[in-house]
Amino acid sequence: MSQDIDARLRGSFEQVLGPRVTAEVLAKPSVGHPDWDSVAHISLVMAVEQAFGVTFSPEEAGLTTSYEALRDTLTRKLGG
Amino acid sequence: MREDADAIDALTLEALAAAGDWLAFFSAIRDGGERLARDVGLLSAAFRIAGTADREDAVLGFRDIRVAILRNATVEPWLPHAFAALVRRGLIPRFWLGDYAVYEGYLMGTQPGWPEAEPDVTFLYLDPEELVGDGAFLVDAALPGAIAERLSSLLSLAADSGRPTVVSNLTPPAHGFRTVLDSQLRSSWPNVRQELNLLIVEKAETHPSLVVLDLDGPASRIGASNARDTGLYLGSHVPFGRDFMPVIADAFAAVVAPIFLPPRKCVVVDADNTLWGGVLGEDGPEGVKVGLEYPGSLYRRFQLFLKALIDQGTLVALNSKNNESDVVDFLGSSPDMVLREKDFAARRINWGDKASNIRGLAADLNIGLDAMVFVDDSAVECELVRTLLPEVLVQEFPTAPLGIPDFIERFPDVGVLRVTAEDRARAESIRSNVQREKLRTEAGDLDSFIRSLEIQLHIRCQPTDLVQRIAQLTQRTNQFNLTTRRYTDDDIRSLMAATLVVTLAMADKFSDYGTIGLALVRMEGSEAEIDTLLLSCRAFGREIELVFVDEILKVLVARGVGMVLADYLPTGKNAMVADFWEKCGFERVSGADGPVRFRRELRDLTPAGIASRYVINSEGCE
Repeated sequence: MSQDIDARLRGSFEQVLGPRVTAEVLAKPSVGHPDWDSVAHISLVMAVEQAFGVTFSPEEAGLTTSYEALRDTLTRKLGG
Repeated sequence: MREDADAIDALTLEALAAAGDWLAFFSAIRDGGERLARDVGLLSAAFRIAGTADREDAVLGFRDIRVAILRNATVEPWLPHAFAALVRRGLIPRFWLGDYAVYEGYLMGTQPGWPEAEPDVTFLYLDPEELVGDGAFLVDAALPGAIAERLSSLLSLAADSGRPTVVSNLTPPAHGFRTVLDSQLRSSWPNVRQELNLLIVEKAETHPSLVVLDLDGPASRIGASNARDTGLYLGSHVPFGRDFMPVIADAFAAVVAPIFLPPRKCVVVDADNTLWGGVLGEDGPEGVKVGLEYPGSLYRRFQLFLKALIDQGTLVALNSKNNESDVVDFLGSSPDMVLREKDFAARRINWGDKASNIRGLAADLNIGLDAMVFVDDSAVECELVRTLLPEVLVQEFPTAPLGIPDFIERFPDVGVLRVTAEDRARAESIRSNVQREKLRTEAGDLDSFIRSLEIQLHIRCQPTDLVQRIAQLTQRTNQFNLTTRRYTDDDIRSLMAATLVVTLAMADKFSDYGTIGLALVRMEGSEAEIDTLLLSCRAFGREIELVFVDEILKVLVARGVGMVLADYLPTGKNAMVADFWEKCGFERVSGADGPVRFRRELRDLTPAGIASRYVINSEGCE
């Protein structure tokens, strides 16, 4: 399941941020990225919400500004 | 929208962009269907790829537009939706966003950062909660006046900007009246909001460059608490809820498209299970459903929609597999029908295939297939027309009557923002053609026929009251159009100051056609260049085009012009005028294939012999 979440989450990242930025994000999954700004983050969160059928609260959206944080929050919401 | 048969994905779009195949890229987005319209990730990918692309050339079948957005909310997450909705209509937008909550500065030109390439259209998004501030909670008698004054001033600045401006009206608050007392007070925010929306419409009615984007209606229908997501708004100032974003995108594209693209001119409708419920030939006139009771009331609603289209100048034609006499009798005798025989600009009621009938209707009405929308409840007929006539826009009518209101709401491509007197008269003049054709047969030769029509031509120079009609002619005329240059209302106003603008109006013993011809001529000293010459298809077959050019040349001679240049710029639709300038006595000076330049000296100008067929008068050309 974890691998499936990673694969699908990576798909959402690639759609919103593009393949190059996604690869750079995944290389340093615990930090943000200059191209991953607050506006891109809103679109990314909305894409992830739709792809996984979840909703992030404003607080959760505000804290998930690294790949790891987003994946961990998503996994918790999916009951993993 | 149809479900897309071949689903696209981000990888495909990346590959198309990398290969520089922009036609395939934008076509995939345009045809992407419901899935693409609702898939946030895929929309983001499409928008991102298009935005970072180094593309300079235009894409065939699409028009690039620059959209400036002034806003007081975080509209960025909505842009991919707006992008896709505009691409579906054949427009490729590049967006520029103003700084947060800055309006007057940009509109007055005092705020730095305005894009160097002048936008084609401005979108003024006014978030209601940002606009009203604390007034949403505190009832203040001075509130309505204060906000109205600011709003009115802002709209005046936008109208004076000289470019089309789309202005959104104000959506209802997610939470309504706080107390029963508030609901009694005109100065409480929910009531003030409605007055402000009326103010916006009033401003737009008197300022043609302002276009109202109705968000209030869609928000009410989706529910105010769905239109605005409180978490998204309070956390990130995103003004639209997730489900509302595609709705607004469609609404935005629906008002922007008519600014740049001509609407489709004719809706071709089936009869059985479209204009009425049931099959006339089987159920009989007493058995089909149309009237004030369900389900007939819903078919009657569709007829009312078609009637409204006719009133705005759109043609409606009938294409039905039936016995013609049965349908004509029913149109005349049924007390419940809204549409009557006279409302249809043309009809093909027979047992032939619908694609051939549509070709016939296009010929009858003298319009292109790409100006037509076909409506039928039969999936088979719809697929036949889609396959054989890809230029025709096909809309499959719902088989369940309760689907009709949604079908009407989502009906595409016939929206117009302004209606002129000529628009309303058009269907009547086309029906008059039937009588004209009878005369043609009786009159014998062409000269006798034309004289029998008693044609009057009215030439006007610099007609400042016809700006909208002139712009409309440049946008809609394809066949008799020598250069196919498109102009907006504001372009024409500018041209009036620096260019000779000549219009031609025509009437005959059957109809007054209004303004049907246009010439735009640049003059410099003793030389002139004809930028635009066009004639509406309503004028065909009377040879008035030669007389029109004669009259224009007479005006130029009177103003000291001795030599005129003119171009023929070929398109896929104006082959009929390839040799027109030569017929007018011009000489070809350059070009063999592609654009061709012509020239004519204006010494010894002799009038065309055919001028005696017409009564010609002019105004403002001295």
